[in-house]
Amino acid sequence: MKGKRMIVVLKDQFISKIATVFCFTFLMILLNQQSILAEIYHQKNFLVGDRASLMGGAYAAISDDASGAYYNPAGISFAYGDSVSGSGNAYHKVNTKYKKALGNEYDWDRESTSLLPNYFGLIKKFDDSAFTISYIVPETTIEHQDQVYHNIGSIDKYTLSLHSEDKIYLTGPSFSQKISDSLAVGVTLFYYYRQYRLQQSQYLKRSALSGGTEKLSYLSEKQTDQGFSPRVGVQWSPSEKFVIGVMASQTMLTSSDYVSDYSVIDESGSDGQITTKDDTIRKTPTQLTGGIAYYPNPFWLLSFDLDYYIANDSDFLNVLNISGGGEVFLDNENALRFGFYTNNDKRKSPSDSTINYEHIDMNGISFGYSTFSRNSSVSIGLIYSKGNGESQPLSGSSAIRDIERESMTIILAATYNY
Amino acid sequence: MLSKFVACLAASFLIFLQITPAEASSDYRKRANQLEEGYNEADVQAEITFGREAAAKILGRHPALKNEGIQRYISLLGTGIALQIGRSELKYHFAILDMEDVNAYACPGGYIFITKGALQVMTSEAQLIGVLAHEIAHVDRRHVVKQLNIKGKDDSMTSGMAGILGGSSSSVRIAMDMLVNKAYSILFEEGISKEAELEADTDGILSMTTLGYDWKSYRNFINSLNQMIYTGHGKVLSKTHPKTEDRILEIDRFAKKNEITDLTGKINIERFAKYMQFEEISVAEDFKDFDDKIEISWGRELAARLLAKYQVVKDDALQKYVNLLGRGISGQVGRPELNYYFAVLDTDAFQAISFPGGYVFLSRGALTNMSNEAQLVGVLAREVAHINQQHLLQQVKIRKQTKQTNNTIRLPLSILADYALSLMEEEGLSAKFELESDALSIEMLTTVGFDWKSYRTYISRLSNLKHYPATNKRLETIDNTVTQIGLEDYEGKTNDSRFKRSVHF
Repeated sequence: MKGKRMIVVLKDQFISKIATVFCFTFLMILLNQQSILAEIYHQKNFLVGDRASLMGGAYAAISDDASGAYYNPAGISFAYGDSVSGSGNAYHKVNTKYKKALGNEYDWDRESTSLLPNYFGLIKKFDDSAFTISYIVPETTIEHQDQVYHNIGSIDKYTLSLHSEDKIYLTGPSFSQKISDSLAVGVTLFYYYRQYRLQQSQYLKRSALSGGTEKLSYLSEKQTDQGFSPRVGVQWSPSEKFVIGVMASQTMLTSSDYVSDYSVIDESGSDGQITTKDDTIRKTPTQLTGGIAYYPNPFWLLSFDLDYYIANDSDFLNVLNISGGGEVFLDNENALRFGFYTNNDKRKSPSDSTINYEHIDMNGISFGYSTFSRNSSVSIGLIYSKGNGESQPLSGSSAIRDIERESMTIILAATYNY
Repeated sequence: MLSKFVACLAASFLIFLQITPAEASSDYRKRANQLEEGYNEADVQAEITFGREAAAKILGRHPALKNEGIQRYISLLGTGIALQIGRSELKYHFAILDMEDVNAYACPGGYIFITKGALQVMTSEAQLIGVLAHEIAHVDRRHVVKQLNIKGKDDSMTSGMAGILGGSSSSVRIAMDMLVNKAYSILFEEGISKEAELEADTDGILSMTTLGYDWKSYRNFINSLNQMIYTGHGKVLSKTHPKTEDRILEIDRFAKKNEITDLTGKINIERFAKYMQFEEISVAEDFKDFDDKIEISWGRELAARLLAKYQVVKDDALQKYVNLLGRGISGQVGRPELNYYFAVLDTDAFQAISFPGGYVFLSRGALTNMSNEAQLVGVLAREVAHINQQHLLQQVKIRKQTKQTNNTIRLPLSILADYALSLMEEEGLSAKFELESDALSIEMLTTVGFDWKSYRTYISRLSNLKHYPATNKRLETIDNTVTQIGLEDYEGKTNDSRFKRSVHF
């Protein structure tokens, strides 16, 4: 966690002074920056694909469109013809509330809003195989937040200006081959690119009783990760109407560059500046997904997935997510889709012996409508998730606060067969 | 970490390799919006446009054979059988490619090519019919259309929105442009799927039996292809078609299943040989029975004069229908050297009339008396028979001879035309010629698979028309003909619904 890492690299003297100021004099002020919204700690924040996302991401046993490159590349050989598909725009909003984080009295709200096309895929079918090129943004956070608080304990005024962007991009080819009508294998090789930027300015003015002094701090962080994220999948139909899909994925980072600059001017403390660089390649989890889909007739489809993430890092937890989804056609041109999913946190829960930990498990539902013409489909839908957990939001503090998060995604997506 | 990942993958594959997959079709995965849909007018138009472009590309790379006689023969035969077995919404085109390689190709939309090399190894019309029927089957089943997913423009609001949202990008348009190249590649390099080729073979066999041709001739032709491949004349064929052994096996299995193993039919070796003259010959030499192209010129003059007196019925669909039907019959039983034209005139003045050179006119009055396609085909066949037998020419010649004119053909066309037209309108052809055509039309009807009894019913309802032999005499001729050819119990097509759909005033 970057907040933790930042603290570690500060020099002891500097830490003690800052910690004294933060923890005792201005308790509960100067919030710890965590990449809480750019969730490399959750795996299903931003569901991908028009159909898949509205079915809760339970797609390992379906995957018969270009988004199959992400969920299970084996499925794309079952695609219905060549197609281009993409989400025109996905509006994604995340609200996080840290309860009583400010002066043990006020809640602190963080909000991320983004509007971007998070998925584009082109699928080319051959007789028993299919080839796909896709571009996917499975994670995105964009924060532009300016907040001013007055009269918090011994603080007359506290100003926080927080601007951050954190995005993960996946792009690459997929290939799927049918072994028979009931068995297919597939592979995807995504190029993985993560770019994280943060600029945070904090200003506080102490009350006259506390000396009336001022403090100004500025934090800049940049991180770039690159690597590959191969996915291998199999789809098998043990009997008509049932399909089982399994998929394994492992992101392998080849480089990671982190740079931060922290500057502080404090009338009642010490001034300072520190630059931190880190090129340690973080460990990423192994994903194992198994799913089953039931096709009772052309008008109904039900699916269920289990996603298991092996942390590969003792600092984190192994995580199990479940998801389920359905699709029901009202007629040949209109369909409804719905789903549910869990989105559990791989971080360990905070305790008295930890600092700046956070753990929040999310549960989500999805619902959408699709309309079809002969060559095209357009989908619109809503994905909503909510979760509760605990956090240690204060810099250098083990104080635990309750945390609530809501996220909402509105999807407008289209598929065009050619 | 990596070792765990590899271990997981290996375990997954091992588990699945242990399981015997259920060989079930994956059709159950189709959703309601993907269920088999019909093809609309826009799809057909897209197919025709695409086929035309693909055909142009083929002709750009492989020139057509410069031999009008053979081209016309193939075209007439092909058009004739396409009417019987082809899709009614398409106009089929047939051409010979000047290539030594043995092959035939079908582009979407009804553009069919056969190579000179293929014609040179054929020995009969039945073999040619088999190959053309095979190619028509590719078009009928939309093999290339399905493989390339050729569809008409989708003008729906959904499609428009999809375009706005980025679904139809320039990459799609580029992909569309690439399709024509892909079609060429399929036809000349990759081939259609093995299943599609075998399907076209068996469809072709079925069509041959329907058309009364000897299906084994086609089997023999397929069997001879290996030799062509071995001698280097089937390079493309060997790449684009299944193995000859597999094709023969499938044909035999089909014949056995459909109990046609012992069925025989027309072979037409002589007629085929007559037209397979690959050295350049002039069209004029084809018309040995009359001076040069005088028959066609004269017929055209007569047709022009008739059209100056009568308007055609202003119904494009009806005219197209009658034309397609007429050309189908003339392709089967007409004279290959002629191009036949059919039109419906807006008059009750006569039933039907035909002029030398292949000009056939039907009156609106005649059509309103008919109740099905078999009756219409019978009337058209009757007129084609007049042209085949050159009845008008013979009658004019006879008349002129009685008027002391010893060579009708050398009279000015305009005088002859006036005379012939008045003859047709005032007197009609001789009873002998009319009865002969009645008899021939019954043979033609059954040859093309239509119900002769319907035609007889139509004749029986006519009350002794002016210029025609007595109705009972005509019925007697029909009955005698049927007895002679032993088809008293034959029940052919009547196509009532297609007729009613196409003919309405």
